[in-house]
Formats: sequence, structure tokens, C-alpha cells
Amino acid sequence: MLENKSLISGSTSMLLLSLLSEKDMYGYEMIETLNQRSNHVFDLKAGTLYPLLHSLEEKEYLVSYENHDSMKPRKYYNITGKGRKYLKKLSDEWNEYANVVRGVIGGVTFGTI
Amino acid sequence: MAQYNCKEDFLEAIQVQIRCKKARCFIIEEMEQHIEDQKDAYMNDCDDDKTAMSKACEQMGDPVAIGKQLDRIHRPRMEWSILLAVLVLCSLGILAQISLGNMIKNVNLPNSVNIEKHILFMALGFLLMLVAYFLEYSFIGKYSKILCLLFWIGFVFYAPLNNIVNDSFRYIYPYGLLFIPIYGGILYAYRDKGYTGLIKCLMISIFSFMIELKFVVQCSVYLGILFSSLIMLSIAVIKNWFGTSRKIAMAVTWGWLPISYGLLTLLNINIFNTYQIVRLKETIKALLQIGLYNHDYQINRAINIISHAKLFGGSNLFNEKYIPGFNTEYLLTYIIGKWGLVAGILIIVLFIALIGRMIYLAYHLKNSLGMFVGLGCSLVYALQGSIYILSNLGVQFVAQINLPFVSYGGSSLLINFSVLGLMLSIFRNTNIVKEERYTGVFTLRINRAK
Repeated sequence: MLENKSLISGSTSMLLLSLLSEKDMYGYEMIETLNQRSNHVFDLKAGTLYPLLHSLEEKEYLVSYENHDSMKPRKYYNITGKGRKYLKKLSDEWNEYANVVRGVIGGVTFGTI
Repeated sequence: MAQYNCKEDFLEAIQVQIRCKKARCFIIEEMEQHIEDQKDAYMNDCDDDKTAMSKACEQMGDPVAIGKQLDRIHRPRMEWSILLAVLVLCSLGILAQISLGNMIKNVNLPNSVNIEKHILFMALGFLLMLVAYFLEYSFIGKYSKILCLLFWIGFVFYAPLNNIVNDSFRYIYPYGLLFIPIYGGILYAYRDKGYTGLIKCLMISIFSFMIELKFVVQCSVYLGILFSSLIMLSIAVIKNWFGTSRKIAMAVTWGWLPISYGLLTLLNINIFNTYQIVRLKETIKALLQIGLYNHDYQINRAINIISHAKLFGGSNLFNEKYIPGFNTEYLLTYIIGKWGLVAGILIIVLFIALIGRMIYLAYHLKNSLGMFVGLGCSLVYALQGSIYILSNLGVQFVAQINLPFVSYGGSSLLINFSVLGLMLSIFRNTNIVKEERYTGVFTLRINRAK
């Protein structure tokens, strides 16, 4: 388990966009998937998730739609082209940051020449 | 943090933090779906109903904090850039009218400038804009067909009440422009209706054109309204609105024009009035034979003023070159003659930037109804602006009309301000109106807070 939660909070947008780049999801599904894939490290609260999703939607990185096909009507989120570009930018920044940190604290550095 | 055992209390705690009532319902609905999912998961882990609900609410986090954050996102927004640009155009219009009034006094011409009336209509227009701004624009989606019918009936009855100038209703055209935003609502109503929906939308567009053809004198205006509605129909086709093949739908949207023209010619049927046919023929002649209408007084004067204009400041010859319609159809020419080419170009650039911004914002709206109606409103200005600029630059085949917000003209100001209010209302509600489809007569329901 991570001791310092601020490491997660700064990158939540990137994690959510990354999940949505694979397929459209609804809020609860995102929390569950993130939790499972991170081996229960990322236990995101709904109170953090929805304001973030709505804010990403306002910035046109995501679009939402109602899906009435399943048993329960749910609001799904879909990543836009603008969102994919933003995700790439966030991922690049994150990788650069991670490389620098690795360089300082020691360890293997990938992606440098 | 308070303990919430019941879903209703938890949701109520979120709801009270969100000031915008229209936004509350769809936020609460999404939260409720989440709590239910979470509760089901806990119940699968063998928790009883009450415990599962309590844990699900706890897992959500602090409802007050959630509500406050969502409140910051879902607020009505004023699109200040558009309002500011319009106010600048209005101020420039007033300045030009005052200057024109002084010029007319100096050259001892009968005064056709009524600055008090211009400002009065501007103030009335501004009030209409505020009314439209605070109206819920979704009524266009709900009652689009009724509105369209009322528009046609209103047009037929209102037109004969207008001033008749040279045997025609010269000042009816601003009213006719209202069809374009209403058509946005019509398109919205035919979502996923296939080729039937497409044909119905096309028929409505053509029928409206036929009505306007009988009353609107300016050929470039009624043709412009028809083309604007066809452009909107094409956007709907591109967005796969009807659920049809894009290629076939696009061929239907535009293909009827040459086919119907061929058929009408073959069967010798006239849908135009006699003067309109003469006018169209002369327009085509004028396009083919440059210089045919070299003796047209207003056009020649306008060309003369513009060709002698300086980059900055007025031309010396300018005061002798008064054109009837300086305060209305040729205000841009007056501005160029009085203050130079740069002043005129600045107004044109400002106007084009305003329309570009409107189209960009409308096209990117999440709400489909807002997108269609917003595009319709933008096209109202794009149509008037392009006709006005071309006619002031001496192009002969376009009508002489008013420049929105700048020229003198009561009905034009009132209609343009109302359309602006409608447009601002669309942008205001962009983050707070939920789009929902259902199978009733109407296709949009706005959820209101309980």
C-alpha cells in the first residue's frame, strides 16, 4: 500500500483517461477496474471521481451518454480526440518526471539516450 | 463527517450544495446509480440491506465536499466574448449614426437619421435579449413543429401589415430569418428517423422557402435562408443524425435543387413572382456582363467612395457623395468614407470573428438541441453579414439589407437581439441541461429539480 496518497491524486486524471482510452465505462466500473488493476492500491472515492469526470467533460476531454440498454440505466463516459491528446501529454510528463526521479534516487532509467 | 445511513439523506446533502436547480437532477441520478451499484457489491459480500447502504454511502465520501465541487462546475455561464463584441458593434453603430446626422446637417440634406429612435430600438432589443436569455431554450426542441407552424401562419398574416415599398414588403425579411433557429429544433425532432425524417426535414425547408418567396423581396435573403437550412441539414447528415447512409442523404439534401429546377422548367411552372424572375434574370446577366449596371446610383456611389477612401481618415471628396441608405444599407460604406479603409476592415474583421466564435461554440456544444439551434442563430448573422458586406463592396447581385447591431432599423434590431438572447441562453445552459431522449411526441425533456 502506498504511504503517500498525493502521488495518486496528482495523476488521477491520467489514470481515468487511460482507462477510458480502452473502452467506455461508467463511474462505478472505473473505480472497480482501477482498484483491481492496481491490486487495491488505488481505492478511489466516488466523491473524488465524479467532480473530476465532470470537470474533464467540461474541458471536452470526455463526453458522456446515457445507456439504457442494460438492466440499469447508466451514464457512460467516452474519451474524445482532445482527451487522447491530453492523455498523451500527461503520460509524457509523467514518464519524464519518473525518469528524473529514478535518475536521482537511483535505479534503471528507461528511454534516455 | 456526518454518518449517512440512508441514500436519500446523502443525496439531499449533495443537492443542497448545488445552486443551479437544473443541474441537480442529472447529478443526483448519477450518484444514485453509483450508490446502488456499490450497495449491490456489499450485499454480494453478505452484508444485509441496511449495512450495505450505510457502507455504500460512507464509501462515497463527504457529500458536502462533493456538492461544493460539482457546484463550481455546473453553473450557468455568460458567454462574455460574444456579448462584448455585440456591445462594441452597437457602440460603433451609434457613433456612426451621430456622425452621419452631423454630416447631413452640414450639407443641408433632409435628415433621415433618427438617433433617438435608433437608441430606443436598441434598448428595446436589449430587453428582448434579456427575456430570451432567461427563457429555457428547450421549448424550441419541445414545440419545434408548433413553432414552425406558428411562424408560417404569422408570416402570412404579418407580411401584409408591413410597409409596402415599391409594391413589395421590403422590411419583412428580418422576421423571415427566424425560421433558421426554429429549423434547428425541427432537425432535433427527427433524430434517428431515417430517410423519412430526412425527407420531412427537407420538405419543411422547401415549404418555408415557398412561403418566404411570396413575401420577401430580397432574393439573396430568401435563397440565403434556404441554403442556411440546407447547410444545417447537411451538418445533421454528417453527424449521422438520421441514421442513414451519409452519401445518399447528402445527395438527397442537395440533389433535389437541380432536379426540381429541371422539372419546373420542363413543365413550364413558375413558382416565382414575375418581378422575381426578371430580377433573377438580370442578376445572372449582371454576373455575366460586368459593368452592365454601371449607372446604378447607390452601387456606383459606394464603389466611388470606397475606391477614393484613404487608409486612415476621411476622403476630401466624401462629403459630396451622400448615398440614400447611408444609415442603413450603406453604413459600412459611410464608415469607410468617413474614417478610412482600416476602420471599415476592423468592423468586418470584428463581425467575422464574432460569427466564427458563435459557430465554433455552437458546433462544439454537447447538447444536440443547443448545437442545432445555436448553429441556426449563428447562420442568421452569417447570412446578414455576408450579404451586407458584399453589397457595400459594390457587388451587384446581393440585396441591400441591414448590418446586425450596427445599422438603423427597428425590426432588424429587435429580431437580431432576440436571436442573440436565444444564443446566449444556449451557451448559458450548456453545462446544466441534460439531454434525454424518450419516445413521446416531444424528444427532449429537461429534468427539473424536485
